[in-house]
Amino acid sequence: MASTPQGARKPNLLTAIFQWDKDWASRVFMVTLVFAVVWYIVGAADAMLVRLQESSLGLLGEPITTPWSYYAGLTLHAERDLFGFAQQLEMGIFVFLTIRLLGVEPRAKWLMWTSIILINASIFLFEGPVILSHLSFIDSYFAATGWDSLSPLGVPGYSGYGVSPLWWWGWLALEASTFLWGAWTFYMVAKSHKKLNYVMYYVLGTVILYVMGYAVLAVATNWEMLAYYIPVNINSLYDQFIFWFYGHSIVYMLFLPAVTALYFLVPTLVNREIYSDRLAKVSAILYVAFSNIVPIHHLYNAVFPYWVNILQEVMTYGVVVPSMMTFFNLWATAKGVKQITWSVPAAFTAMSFAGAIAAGVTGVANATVSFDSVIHNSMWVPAHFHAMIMLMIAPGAYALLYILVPWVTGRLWYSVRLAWAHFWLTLVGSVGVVMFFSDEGISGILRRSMIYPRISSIVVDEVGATIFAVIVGLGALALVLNTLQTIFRGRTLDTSKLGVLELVSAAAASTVSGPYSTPEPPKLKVDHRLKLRAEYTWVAVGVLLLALTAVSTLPEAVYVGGAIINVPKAYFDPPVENVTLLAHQYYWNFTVGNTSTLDFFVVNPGEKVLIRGTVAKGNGLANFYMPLFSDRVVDYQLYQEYYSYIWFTAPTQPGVYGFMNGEYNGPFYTYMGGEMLVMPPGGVLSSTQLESYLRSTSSDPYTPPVELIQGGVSLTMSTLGNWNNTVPAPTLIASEGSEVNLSFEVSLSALTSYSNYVFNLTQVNTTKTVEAYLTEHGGRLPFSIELLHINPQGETSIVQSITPTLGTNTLSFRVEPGIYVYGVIQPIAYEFNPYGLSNQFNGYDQGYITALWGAVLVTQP
Amino acid sequence: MKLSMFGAMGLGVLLAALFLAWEEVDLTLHGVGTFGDTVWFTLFSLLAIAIFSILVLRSPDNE
Ligand SMILES: [Cu+2]
Repeated sequence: MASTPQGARKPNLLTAIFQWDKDWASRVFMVTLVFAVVWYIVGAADAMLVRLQESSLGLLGEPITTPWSYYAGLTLHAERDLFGFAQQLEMGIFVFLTIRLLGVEPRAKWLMWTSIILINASIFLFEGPVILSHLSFIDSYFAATGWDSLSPLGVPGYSGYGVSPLWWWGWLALEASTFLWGAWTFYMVAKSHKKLNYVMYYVLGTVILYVMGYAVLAVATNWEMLAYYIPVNINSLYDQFIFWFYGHSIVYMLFLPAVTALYFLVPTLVNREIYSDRLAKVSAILYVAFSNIVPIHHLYNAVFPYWVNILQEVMTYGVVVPSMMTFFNLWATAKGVKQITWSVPAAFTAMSFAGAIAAGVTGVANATVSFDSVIHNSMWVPAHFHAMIMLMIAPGAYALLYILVPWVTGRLWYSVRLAWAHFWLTLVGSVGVVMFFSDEGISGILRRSMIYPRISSIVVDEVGATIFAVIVGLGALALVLNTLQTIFRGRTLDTSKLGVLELVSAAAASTVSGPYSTPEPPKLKVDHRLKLRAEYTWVAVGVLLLALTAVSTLPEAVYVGGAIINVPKAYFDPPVENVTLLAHQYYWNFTVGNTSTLDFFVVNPGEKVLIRGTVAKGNGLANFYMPLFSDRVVDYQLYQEYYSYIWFTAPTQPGVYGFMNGEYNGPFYTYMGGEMLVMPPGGVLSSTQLESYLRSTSSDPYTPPVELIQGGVSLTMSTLGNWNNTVPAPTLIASEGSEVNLSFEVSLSALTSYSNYVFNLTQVNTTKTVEAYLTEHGGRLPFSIELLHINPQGETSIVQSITPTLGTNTLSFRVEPGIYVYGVIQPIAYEFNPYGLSNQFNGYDQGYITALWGAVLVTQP
Repeated sequence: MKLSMFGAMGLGVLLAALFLAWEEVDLTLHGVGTFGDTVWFTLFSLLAIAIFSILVLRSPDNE
């Protein structure tokens, strides 16, 4: 192994950073490391944009960026950090380990270099076209898509939000990169004559998982790409189903390298053999065998029959078995080793192990049908996978990096302080982010939601997550600074004469300020069968407990999901309120009997409701999400060309209950709120009913805030294009027979904000455009403010309609029994077309937005 | 007392159990409607973590 001899000529900057004077495997490792760090930083900046937008909306009620930049940031954060950073770094580490552990001469080097070029090219392609002449507008917008998990989002004809085809080319490049890396690894293993140790089992297992996963993903990508270029029909349910074969195993593609790191580091740091070598190998095989066949646990609320869901739940529990073996094995490996010098890699190793337990258990929760029915599509899910990434995968990778950087560069860590700062900031920051995300999800807040209810506890979660994310970022900065200083100024270490244990100890020792001692080797030899017996007992007990979980949650699980067979029998026996639902981009259309309404539907207290819901062609997809925490979280995925059957019992308490579109279908997705109006008997709430309504709704996040009308109420258009910063608008309480005034305030500054959709404001000088329009139309705005009355029998009629101007616009009326709906009820046509650049190649977004309306409840005088 | 690697990993297991318990309590505080959906999973998982810990503690040292 080559190393820089002491006193040699100082290498130049690039040679030092890429370690170009070293052997091939070290060079590959350093090249991937440098590019990975660059993508990490760019991806972290994306995440920070998202966090700052949420914080600003919570604290000030004002956005700092547009909805499309926000969603581009969210999507690109995932891609840059998962693929550009994590996958690329894994490729580099695994190439290095493959060469070192197999002891082979590297061959077919061009395969690996092509693979590295392709993975970096894919990250550029995901971003979509970068139109240099109009950089600030186009740069990020057209990447505001989701993954194939949201099929057919982005495909022309199927979705009002269209993505640039470069997006699919990006996926193809990523798939090709993965296949080349896989081919290279298999080739090297085939050329080696060494028996594989358990660490190589994991390296090889992970690579097999990658190749299998990306092969399935290639099917989904090509299906959508074909639909883009030639008219091939997309079945979005099947396409999503195919995607999730990959989507689930990607978790294991990232998780297994961290497991590999733990299998390598825990024994080395405590100077012991792994507790059970055989079970380590068996669990590697089980991981590969089980983790590619469980796509439907991501689709429980789609339209599969309950028995398919439950079968997939049980199969997913199968993947828990290798983890049960692994974490027993790892923990027991450290058993009996009393003294250890705490180094930074040792601390990250322990953190990664703990994170695996915490995030692993929530993963099983997520796979449990009844549990998933509560938190699916909420921020709880990002909390879970951020726990896996930030508490398990990243610490595992960091632990390994603290060993590999000295190993590869022949330099010991420069700063002990920066290394420990990295550890503590990462630990504190990551735990904080996960806890705040989790609390947000448990409160029922949707994932990917830019606009969220401004309830104080939710604002605390959003701002808290931002603060702790900054702490994580500071930790990463400490690592980058320390690595750079190490490469240039670290004490040199002659790695050529050292074995693995000495190398690990030397690297670990350079992160400790005092003396470092390697634990004593074992003195006794314990009967191997005793160790195995303990581990087998644990696996047997664990399997039994999983079986008990499946059985005890069965009564709830059989009713989850939108297939007609999953609906309780009682919902087919009259009396049942049958509702038809058609979800458009971005509004809802309900039909009850002969009455058709937009965004709301009317039911009677305590009656059974069965909604038959689907998605209009031209709206990618939708999800009916109504978290009624006092009764049931109603959450159903809706597909084009399928019907989902949504059942629930209307609350016995009359009032307004909010629901949301729970699935991203374009940058204005969180503007797509709706209301279930539970009509009071006779159309009037008694004062006791009003009191209990106010109490009952406090826990449901998407039920709009309530305002009492005393004479009049003022509603101000926010810069986001809604009234009083809530979607839907506040629920107003008026007493029967009184005269009320609703004042709608519309300012020029609200209309000309870039987040407001009311005008298609995609020109440079928005104020001028709006003023020109107003002059041309006698000061009249391009929409009507209406008042709709629903009588106690559920019949609707428009009672007033005005065309508003800038300033104050007033609706005055005498309150009759029933429920009123006020505001801009007709959808506002919206088309995003900056500089006329929207087209199929660049991307586009169009739809009808309704976010300027609310309801009035009537009470006894 | 100095923390061993084994002790640190054990502390991690304990914190993971506390995190799980906190999530269940937090969910229940939001409303009774979710209780039946989540409580069984949480109970059996906490039990699993407890048995896991006992079995590791009672298994022979790694010598
Ligand atoms: Cu999964």
